[in-house]
Amino acid sequence: MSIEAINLEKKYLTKKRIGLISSEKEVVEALKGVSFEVGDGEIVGLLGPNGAGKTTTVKILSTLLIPDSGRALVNGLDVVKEAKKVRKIIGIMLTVEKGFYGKLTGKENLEYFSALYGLKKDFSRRKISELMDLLGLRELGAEDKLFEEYSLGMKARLSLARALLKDPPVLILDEPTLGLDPPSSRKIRELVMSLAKEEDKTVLYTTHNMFEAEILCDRILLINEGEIVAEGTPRELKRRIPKLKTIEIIAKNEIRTEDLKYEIERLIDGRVSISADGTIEIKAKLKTYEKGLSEILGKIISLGLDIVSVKVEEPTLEDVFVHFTSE
Amino acid sequence: MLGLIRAEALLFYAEVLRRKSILVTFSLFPYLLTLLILLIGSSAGSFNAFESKVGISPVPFFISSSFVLMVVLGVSDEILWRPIYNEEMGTSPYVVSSPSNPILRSLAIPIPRLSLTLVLGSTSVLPVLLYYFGSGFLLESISIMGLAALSGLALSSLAIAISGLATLWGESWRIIQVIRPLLFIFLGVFYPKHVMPTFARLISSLIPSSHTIEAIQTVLLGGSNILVPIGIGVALFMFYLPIGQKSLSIWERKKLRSGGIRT
Ligand SMILES: Nc1ncnc2c1ncn2[C@@H]1O[C@H](COP(=O)(O)OP(=O)(O)OP(=O)(O)O)[C@@H](O)[C@H]1O
Ligand SMILES: [Mg+2]
Repeated sequence: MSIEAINLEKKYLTKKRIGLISSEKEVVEALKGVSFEVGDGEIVGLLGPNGAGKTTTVKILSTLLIPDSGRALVNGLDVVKEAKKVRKIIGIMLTVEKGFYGKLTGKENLEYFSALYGLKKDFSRRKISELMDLLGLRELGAEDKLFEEYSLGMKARLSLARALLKDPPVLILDEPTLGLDPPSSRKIRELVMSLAKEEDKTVLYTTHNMFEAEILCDRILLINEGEIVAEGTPRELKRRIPKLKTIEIIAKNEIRTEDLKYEIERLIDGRVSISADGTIEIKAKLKTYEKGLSEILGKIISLGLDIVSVKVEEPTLEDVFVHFTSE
Repeated sequence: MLGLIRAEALLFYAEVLRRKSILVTFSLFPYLLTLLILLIGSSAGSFNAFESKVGISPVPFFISSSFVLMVVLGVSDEILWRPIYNEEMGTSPYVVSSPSNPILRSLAIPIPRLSLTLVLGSTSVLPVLLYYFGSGFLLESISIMGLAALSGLALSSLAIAISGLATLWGESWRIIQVIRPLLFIFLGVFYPKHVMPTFARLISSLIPSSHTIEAIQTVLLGGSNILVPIGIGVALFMFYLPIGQKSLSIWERKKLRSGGIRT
């Protein structure tokens, strides 16, 4: 296992302001025992609503936050006790819009951080040039532009470039595509995908973008209020929710009557519309996929209708998200 | 370490050269300081009164003193201001989670500014000293420049110790405003150590740079017994080094526990 989180707990102590001067201590339970694993070369998505504890988890794994209890290991190294070693093997990206010096160009910023990472000058020069190409920053003419003049897309690319400077086996990326336009977010996704698949890098990736999670992640962890509430491949998760798939049936019938509409609606829980040419459109929800489908179809056939087409709409990952996180 | 210094130089020169306001303040600072000194000096009494009291003409004294003050304040400013700046820029998580050694990282921070100040000094302070004392004073003038540099370096470990501990107190940026006037007084630049009351002299003696500054004053007065104060200054620097290291690790620990490293 590349990343292993074992029962992580974290509380933040904050102050609740009462008026201008007085305040009250407040405890925020950000993580209430979070455990998960990420295997070598795997891309795992950490999904959850705002305030669920994603960034808190990410910070613990990045050696930037010490948990109250529990342990986390990166390639077998403890993130608290062996923080220095962990820091050498992880590449992190924590925000898109900040994290660089505004008065340095993109390239200079990378030079600065390579020095901090202890990289040899020759190596880092080559690496930076390679990353500028890889992330399309050279193409965008952003290499020698001051960071403060960067667009959000350029900032995100530079941030991923920094995460890759050390050529780390493990990448921890917190909402790397937040607010980006399609070309930039696609660039980042494609790169992350190829890093995992071709270079066997392990990736923990948080996002709010369901589409992205679905196409990118091998596995998804759903976190809500500091707890992992579900885990699995996107397909597994979809199968696990009781939420109904929607089916759309188009059928034909010679005799056109309004009665038929009511008759079908009485038999199944759905909406029926009949158009002038006798086409009957039925939209219904299925409780369980297989059984419900044949039941509905059986009922329709029993009414003497000709079934023309059946379309089954899968629940989306968003449905999964809503199901597990809104209670 | 060399790599870290190179990186800091990159950052420093970009910040100074690409930010007009800083460039202007930076180059105006020595002149403003000199002006201030001349004003204070003239209100305190005549040049002759100063000379009979201190034993040296006020011009070379104040020129060297303001220069060394500029060097030392520069070092403390750079070190104390950096954590605040990193927080502002959002770079602190990446700096903290870099595998570099925190104490070396901090020691590298003031070096570029110190170097630039020395270059400025050798084109302004050095000629003035040579003009006043004649070319026979070349070696002494160079020693004064060197001692000024040493005064800056010597302060760095103490400044690091203070910067780390400042976070325990909260509002760390205020510390700069507090430290500046304290240094102004206790370094003993304008207010030589031997005229301070005992209590102040005690505090002053705890600042490594106050000893190297004493050495500068000795050189200016024509003395040569400077090895002892230099030795004390360096020893105090070494003394504060582990404290600085400890202070940085307390800072980091505290930040990592409270979640204070903002992204
Ligand atoms: N430094 C902090 N001090 C106090 N409370 C904090 C701190 N950081 C996070 N929290 C609180 O901890 C909880 C979890 O926050 P976290 O940032 O981990 O959520 P998240 O899942 O990343 O949310 P988002 O999707 O908005 O980024 C929230 O209630 C948040 O307000
Ligand atoms: Mg977050």
